[in-house]
Amino acid sequence: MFKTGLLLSICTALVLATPVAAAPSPLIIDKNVRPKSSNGRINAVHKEIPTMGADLNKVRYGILAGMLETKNFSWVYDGEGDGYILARFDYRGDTNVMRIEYNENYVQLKYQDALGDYVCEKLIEGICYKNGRGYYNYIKNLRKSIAYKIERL
Amino acid sequence: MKRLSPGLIFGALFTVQAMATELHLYQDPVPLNGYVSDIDALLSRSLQRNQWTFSKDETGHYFASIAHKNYEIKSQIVAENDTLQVKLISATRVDCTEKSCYVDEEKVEGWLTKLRRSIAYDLTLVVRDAALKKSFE
Repeated sequence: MFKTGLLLSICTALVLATPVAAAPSPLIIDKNVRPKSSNGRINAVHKEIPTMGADLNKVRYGILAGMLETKNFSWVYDGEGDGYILARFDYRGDTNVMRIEYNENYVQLKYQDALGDYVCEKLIEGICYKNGRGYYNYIKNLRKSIAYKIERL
Repeated sequence: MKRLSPGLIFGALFTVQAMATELHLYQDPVPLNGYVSDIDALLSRSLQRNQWTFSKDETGHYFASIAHKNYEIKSQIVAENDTLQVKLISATRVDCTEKSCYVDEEKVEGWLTKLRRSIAYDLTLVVRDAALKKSFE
């Protein structure tokens, strides 16, 4: 009994710790999730940005330029992988890392990790359903800046 | 089950640990990912931004130090595995007296976080420029 329970829990931990394959897609908000912030706030951060078939190298440039030119506070590079860039924000003791996923159709911001006030309270497949107002306000600016760059590629 | 399996309890604790954040304020390595060939130049620029003093010893180790608001902070910037990591060596109060010798760790962490961020900012410029160049190929 001990071994079965232990094995089951370790397998669960390994699954949870393994990064999910990154792929941006049209955001569908589950209205039944609780706790939950408003749809407006969730959309402001996590709604997909169409790339209109732009070259992926140009999309990548748009994301990085958008990070640097975000209103009030630049986001910095924190690594990358196949189809995503990690962007980091450190301000007054709070830290947030977003995984910016991209492919030939969309760019989409997903929650990666945080310290302090921006730790997500309800996270489902990279979409943060519940967080403080500051999370949505700061990251909304990142999304806006990237969208602005992508539209002008 | 009438009582929880000890295995499940133990495993649940392991699961919680696996999900815990691994972020740190300033200690997380900045990943260079092959983008930076001249670390000296990058660090020289980054440290100047917030008035840190950059130095390098005979063995090639990088250091950053600052005297700010009655504090003297010394840190090492470790270049390892294509990353740069800020490590605190010491933080002391200048003009330390019996009444005032307290080192506010939050302040020190804040300054070191800004140091890390400054390095990461210059790295981001390099990565962006590399992406721009590639977009024209």
